[in-house]
Amino acid sequence: MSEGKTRIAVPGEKLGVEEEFIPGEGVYVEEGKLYSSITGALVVDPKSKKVGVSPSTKVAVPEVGDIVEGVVVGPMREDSTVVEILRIKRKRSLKGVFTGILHVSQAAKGYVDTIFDAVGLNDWVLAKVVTDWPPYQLSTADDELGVIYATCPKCGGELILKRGRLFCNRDKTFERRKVSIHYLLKEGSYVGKDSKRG
Amino acid sequence: MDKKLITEDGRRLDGRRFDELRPIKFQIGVLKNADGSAYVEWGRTKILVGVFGPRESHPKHLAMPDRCLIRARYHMAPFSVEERKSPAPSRREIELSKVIREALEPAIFVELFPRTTIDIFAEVLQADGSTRCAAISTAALALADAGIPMRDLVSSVAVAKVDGSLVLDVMDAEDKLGDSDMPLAMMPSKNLVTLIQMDGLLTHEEFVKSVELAKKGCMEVYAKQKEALDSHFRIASKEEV
Repeated sequence: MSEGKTRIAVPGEKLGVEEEFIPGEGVYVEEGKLYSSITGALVVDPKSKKVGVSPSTKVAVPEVGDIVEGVVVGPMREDSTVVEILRIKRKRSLKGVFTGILHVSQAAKGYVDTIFDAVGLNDWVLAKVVTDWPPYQLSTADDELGVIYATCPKCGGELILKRGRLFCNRDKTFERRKVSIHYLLKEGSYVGKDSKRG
Repeated sequence: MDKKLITEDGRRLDGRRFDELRPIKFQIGVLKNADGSAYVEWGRTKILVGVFGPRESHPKHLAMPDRCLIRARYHMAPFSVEERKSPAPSRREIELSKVIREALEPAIFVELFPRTTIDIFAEVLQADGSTRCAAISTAALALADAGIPMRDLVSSVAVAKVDGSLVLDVMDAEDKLGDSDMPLAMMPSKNLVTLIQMDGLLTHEEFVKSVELAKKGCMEVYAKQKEALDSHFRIASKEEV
């Protein structure tokens, strides 16, 4: 980026009129005139006649399509549960939490009987945002979405991914979850404290 | 009056002309834990502003389905004035919090973030007059630093009548000993006033003149604000590359 060329636009700065440009990102129109609504480098595309402002800092609010990371905090109901959103992928860290709701109908691609077959209390999940305001509706119906870390509800030990299902090494039981392909503890690669005891 | 606020050669106590601002220095992005922040040294007035949000509203009943809630807190540190100020919010601070919120609200696109809250915290570290104006101007920069979409920045300055003449950018002595004080905040590139208050008495003509003088002062503050944003984000965008 050459020093002289980048122009930093500030909120309220007039960028042109409607007849000149098509408003892009960070630009709003008022009475036929185009203004910047954020601070950032001015981007003018002479080909498409588009003027935009590439934001220097972006607000961290979940938007439709964003992938978020969160914890199932409950209460667990038959048909839905509450997920606390702690991180939004590709956005700056949150200074608080946003509340999300996961409904059975959005838990997996196929049929899920109750939410207990998809997630458990205190599970870490990856989910996609479906609505645009809090409480955000979430979906885990994709291969990369779903539980990424879970503990055993009986003994509290970490569950490992074994033959596509979550397994507790201490209790020798399987737990029913909608598991993400990004699940953290996979059989073989797992070297946690429980695995030594075999 | 024992002490004159204006000397014979038309200078003020600190040597300024009638229509001269104090030296203003804005700094942006000074707080790590806030979403956006700014600091100003406006003569001897020093204010730190932190902005959080948009974030989920707590308590939740305050959330509005069609827009975001703006909350502002203006607070003076106990050491900000000559005699210790009680840190508890005073009547004056509660009022200033309200007017600061209402001065900034028209500039923010509140409808973009339904059911959320934006919190603005202005902490006066040292007070030497025009703290509300400095807080508004600095908060606008902190909001811009947080990346919150705005119609325009908000610039603010106060005009006072001292010894019968109108002076720009009131300092503490002029505020206390002067005849009137009129803070004004505006969206400079839209030429829209978002705050106007008045203490004391002004004639109709003086009022009209004061508004003109304040608007001129706001444009000067606006230039300083733009400069601060430009230099801050120019450095930031260079570091990214």
